[in-house]
Amino acid sequence: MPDPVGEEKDMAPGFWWVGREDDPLLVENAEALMPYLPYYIAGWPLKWAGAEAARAPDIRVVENPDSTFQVISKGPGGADFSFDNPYDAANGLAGALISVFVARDPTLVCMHAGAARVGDGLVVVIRDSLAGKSSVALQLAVLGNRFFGDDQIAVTLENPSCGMCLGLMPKVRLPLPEDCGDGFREFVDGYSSMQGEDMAYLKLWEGEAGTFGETAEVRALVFLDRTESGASELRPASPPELVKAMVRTAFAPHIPSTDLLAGLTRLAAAVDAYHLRFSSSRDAAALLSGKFRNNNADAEK
Amino acid sequence: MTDEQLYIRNPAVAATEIDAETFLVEPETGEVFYLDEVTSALWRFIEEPRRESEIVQAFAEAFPDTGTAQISADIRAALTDMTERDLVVVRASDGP
Repeated sequence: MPDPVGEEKDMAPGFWWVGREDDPLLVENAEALMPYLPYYIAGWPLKWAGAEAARAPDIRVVENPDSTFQVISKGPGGADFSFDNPYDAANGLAGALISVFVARDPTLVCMHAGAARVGDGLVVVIRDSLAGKSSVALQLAVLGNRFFGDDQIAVTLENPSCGMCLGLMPKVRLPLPEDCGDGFREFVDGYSSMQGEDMAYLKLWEGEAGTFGETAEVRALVFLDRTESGASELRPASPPELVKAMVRTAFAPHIPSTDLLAGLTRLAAAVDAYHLRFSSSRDAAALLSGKFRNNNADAEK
Repeated sequence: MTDEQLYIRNPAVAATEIDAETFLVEPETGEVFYLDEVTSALWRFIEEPRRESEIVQAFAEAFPDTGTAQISADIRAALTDMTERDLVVVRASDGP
């Protein structure tokens, strides 16, 4: 992503094209946030659109006199959020870009999920916050699987369903769990691009992580069920459980609920779904990696 | 609630059944509701207008190990909840 700082024309408030070149989003007045945006999202094409724009922006950034920021997005699911500083506002801008991008495409929904490419398909891990999605997805990356997304993944409601990488940078809560393993600690230390007191943001190399817009077929949806202790266990989930979980986590303000439900029902019929009970994200990732890599190998025989 | 009332599905509600469990979409808000197997059975039963007493009787026959008082309370709670959420509508009974 080009660094806007240092180019004189970029210092003036103006407009930016962000995202797919054939249908970019227009963002107004984001100059103060641009230096921080790469900490949160990567691979989104970015292009200066000039001091004036021919159409209304999709997202506006407002810098208030008290140095706080507002990120205002339009369209289905549009929102108006306030932030105390440019770091957090850049994170808010990343979220707004993803929301507006997904809401433009009638075939896409955004799932609150993490994902890694295991073999030739995506393993998507779903659950509410604090369930360990990020840890499991990153532990899959530590095991050599291609990291595909953390926190939000776009999926198509078609058969076969594809996941689309949204370019969100992976992050992990600090301190790391004691049982995360040396490999995970080294991974986090080696790839941290920014660390706060309770969060580390990682920047993976292109070969190790999916980039914005990359797609892969969804092989399995896995619901995480974190426990205090015990070995990792994977068991099949029923289609109603799958639909119920996806309804809870799907962001799709642009799709009528009846169509969304029909699409999620099709998706539930098309992919394998599992419950993963685990206490250690390292063991959980090893179980997933072993199962789905083996499945790929079996399929190739 | 009186037994003069008839309960029936709100015809504007869209329903999707998956493996005997049901998802409903409330048309005004677009909110999606999930019904477990038992509540799904209630939803199927009120495809035609039904009195509360009829529903309780049918469920008491279907679940003989559960006390009628418990079934009655559960049905009352479910009907109240679904009526408040506009998933079910109430009609006055024309007669016995």
